[in-house]
Amino acid sequence: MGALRRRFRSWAGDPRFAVPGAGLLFGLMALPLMGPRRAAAVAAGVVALRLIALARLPERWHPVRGAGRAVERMRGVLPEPPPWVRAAVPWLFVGALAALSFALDPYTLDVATTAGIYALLALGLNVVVGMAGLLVLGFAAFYAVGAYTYALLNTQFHLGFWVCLPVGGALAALFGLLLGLPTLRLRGDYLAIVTLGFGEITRITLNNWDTVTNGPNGILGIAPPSLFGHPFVHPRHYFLLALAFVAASAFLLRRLDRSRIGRAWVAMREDETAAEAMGLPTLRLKLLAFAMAAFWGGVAGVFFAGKQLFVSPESFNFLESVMVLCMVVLGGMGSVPGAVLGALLLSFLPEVLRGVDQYRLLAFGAAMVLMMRYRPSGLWPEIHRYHEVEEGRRG
Amino acid sequence: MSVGGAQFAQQVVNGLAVGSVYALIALGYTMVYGIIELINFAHGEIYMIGAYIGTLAVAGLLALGVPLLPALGAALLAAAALTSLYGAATERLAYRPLRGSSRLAPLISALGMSIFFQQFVLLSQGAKDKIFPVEISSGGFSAGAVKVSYIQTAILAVAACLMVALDQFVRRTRMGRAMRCMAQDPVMASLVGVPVHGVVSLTFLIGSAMAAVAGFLIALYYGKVNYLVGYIAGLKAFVAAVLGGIGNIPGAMLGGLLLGVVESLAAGYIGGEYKDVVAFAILVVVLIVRPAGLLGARLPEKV
Amino acid sequence: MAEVLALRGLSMRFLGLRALEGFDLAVREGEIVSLIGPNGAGKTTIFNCVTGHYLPTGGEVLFAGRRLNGLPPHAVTALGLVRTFQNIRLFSAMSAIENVMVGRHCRTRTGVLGCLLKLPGCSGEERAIRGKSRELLAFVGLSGRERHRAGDLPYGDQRRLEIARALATEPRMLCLDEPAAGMNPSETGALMELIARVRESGVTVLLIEHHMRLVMGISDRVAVLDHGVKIAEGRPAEIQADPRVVEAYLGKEASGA
Ligand SMILES: Nc1ncnc2c1ncn2[C@@H]1O[C@H](COP(=O)(O)OP(=O)(O)OP(=O)(O)O)[C@@H](O)[C@H]1O
Ligand SMILES: [Mg+2]
Repeated sequence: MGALRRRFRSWAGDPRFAVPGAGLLFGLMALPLMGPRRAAAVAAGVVALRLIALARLPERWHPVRGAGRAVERMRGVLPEPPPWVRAAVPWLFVGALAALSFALDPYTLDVATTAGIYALLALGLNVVVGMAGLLVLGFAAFYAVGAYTYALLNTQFHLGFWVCLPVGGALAALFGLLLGLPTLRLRGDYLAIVTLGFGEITRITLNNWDTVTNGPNGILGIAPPSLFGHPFVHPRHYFLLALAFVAASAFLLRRLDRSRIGRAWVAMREDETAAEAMGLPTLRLKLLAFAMAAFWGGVAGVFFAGKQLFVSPESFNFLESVMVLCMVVLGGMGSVPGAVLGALLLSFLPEVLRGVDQYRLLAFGAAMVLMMRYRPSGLWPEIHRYHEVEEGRRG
Repeated sequence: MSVGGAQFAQQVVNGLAVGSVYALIALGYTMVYGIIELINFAHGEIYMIGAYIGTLAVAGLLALGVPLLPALGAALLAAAALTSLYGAATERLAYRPLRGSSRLAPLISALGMSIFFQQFVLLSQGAKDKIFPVEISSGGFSAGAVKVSYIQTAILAVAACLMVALDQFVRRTRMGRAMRCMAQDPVMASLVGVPVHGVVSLTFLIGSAMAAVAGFLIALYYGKVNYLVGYIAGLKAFVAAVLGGIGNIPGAMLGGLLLGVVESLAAGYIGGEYKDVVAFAILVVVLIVRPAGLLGARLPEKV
Repeated sequence: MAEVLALRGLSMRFLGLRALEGFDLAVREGEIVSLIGPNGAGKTTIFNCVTGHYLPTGGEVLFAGRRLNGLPPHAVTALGLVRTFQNIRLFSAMSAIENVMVGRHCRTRTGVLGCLLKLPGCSGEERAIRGKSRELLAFVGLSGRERHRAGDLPYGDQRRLEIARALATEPRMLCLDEPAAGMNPSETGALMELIARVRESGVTVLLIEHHMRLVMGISDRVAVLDHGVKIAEGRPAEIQADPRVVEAYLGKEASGA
């Protein structure tokens, strides 16, 4: 028995056996679900990957790490500019985008507006997941609260967009507080599941509470927003509004990140016990992060309803939450520019990669695993997170 | 027996059958959590994959002319074996490399695996329900107005056997002792020579095999599977694990049965649409009132 | 002098284990009091009960006349009682100065809106936080290390950074859990001098330490703990001469010989 085990160990360590062995194993696993031909392809693919791994190619060729390095190099090429330039660059960028909008066709503008809504969502989720380090999986629920708030208040009581905007945000924040109060005392893992369940319940309720939400058919006939008496009619109007929202949010959240509260969140995320002992009211800080994130989610929801002029429960399913989380992870948890970058990448990617749309979610799942393994700090890392992560790697 | 009493008893029986399936899935959550403190989000998907593999295997074996009962038995074993590989591979590829990194990273990786598996099955098997190839007769035993179908009996029997076997395994064997040891103090366990990676892999193998059995039984019970079933079942089983006290093996069994019964009663007396809400409400109440669960004892975290 | 901290019959059980039984202690303003005892005697458990990390299963904790039982740790810190950790718990990915700045949190006010909008009051307060934190780093002798990542500092510096971070909360009383652990003799000397300066600045000190030269050299009083029970208390010289203490540390034969 012992001899057998030893022999097995030495086989497992020998690539001549281990590589085809891995191929065989994965082929076998794939066989019942995919059939013999595709299972053979899987086996071949696994063998190829193992061989590539054995070849120890240079790091820059690594599909995930290499991409991260490339972004870093791009940031590194730019010389360290004087502070006033640094402060001006984002605004110049926003101005350029606003100017560009007059040259873009309506379809592109529409896609860009959707990307803007995702950027708002990602910025919000980044507060709770990235800055405070709490995993929230049902974020779409807050998005839904905002969207239905506008849809209902507008169709029932004819309240305008600008009134509903803060109301939707506040209502979502209130939901966040109610949900967070019982769960945030406990370890972070529970929060993930409870928010997941909450997301599901919100959807079930929207689907079944016919008298108020009109069930799966959703709510039609929402009035578009208007500014100074001019209703929004052209995609460009929406685009400019989204641009303004995203720019303002990024600006504010970046300040928050660098304030005493942002610092307290970082401390709490690193070591909750020590943070509490140093006088940080961790429960309150968590609730604050949670409510802030929910608020942004609600605001994004109001915007969404104002743009689509139609809401239904389908838009707020679990995969929507996952997508936003993926944006945050890809951009870099805790990083404000990262959240925007992630949202833009994942919103435009389907436009670029047409025809392989059905593989999108598969790729998202794989990307989350690969990012955590090879580049957990994301494409545009936030500095603390970066350290934390490098440390984990060394240790 | 009065009509109300009979209906109540019938709901309890149905609840126990479904609950024992929850318990089987919950065991996987609880064992993994006990040993590496990770909520394995992909576990629900493992269950779903087990259901698919079992269903496909039965179809394949019947097509080869194997008689029904041996086909069911062989398919069950095949599903358990192959699915346990999925579980172990998940651990090896998505969790093990992240040990020692931040708390969030493995959770996100687990979520990624869950989505990956779900989409993998969607793409390879399609979005339509997969129908179980044989209709098992709906006959059964009855005591008065209460009916226990053959499938329910089988579910209860298989689940009970597995739970007893697991309990004995954890208590009496070397590997079982190593598991308990790691659950108490992983650092110390590795210092005294417990093969840490081996124990974790074994935990995933066992947990996934049990989830696969659960999936197979449910496919048999409802006569179909779908790529989405893992999500809700995973959530429920997690609730069961928390209800019993996460990390606690008898707790998971108790929690599963209890959840099944409560849910079945709720569906019978309140209405089916909100059945899933009940599980969630239980979760929140447990977390508020007794976060350590029914059988868990919580010590303050050592500072 | 007034009593700052009073522990009355403090007890802590973990299921069957009695980690602490009926422990009494009074600490007066401006004193340095040390807790010693063999490993597992329950010293750290006392800190955990006092600072709100554990809810004691019996007895009470009075700080400046206020009952602390049941208060969360952050509230205890806000009242002016702060601790360090036996196994260093810095925010290791943050820089040294940021660690200290976190300690200022409970003495500063700016709310969310102020932070989001960076109102004038907020910037001023942020500057004050940074200034005070610089001073504290200098106080513990880490002036040149401001921008170093806390986790990369040498061990002795990390211990001192923990003290600076704790002092940033403006405590009336500082509880140090084995601050000299892992330090070399010259670092221990510097630490001793630092603790003396902390006391001079008006902060009462409660010290857990295994390093006897440090304990005996600096303490006004020493309490000895064994198996969760206080077996002796007195001035350092009295403790050193006490046969019960020698027995607790070295076993029966040694004390008899
Ligand atoms: N959270 C806890 N759960 C269970 N047991 C605990 C807990 N905290 C402390 N103990 C136990 O209480 C006893 C006292 O521990 P404590 O840490 O107070 O000892 P100590 O005097 O600080 O020892 P050392 O000098 O090694 O630091 C030990 O037996 C320890 O295992
Ligand atoms: Mg101690």
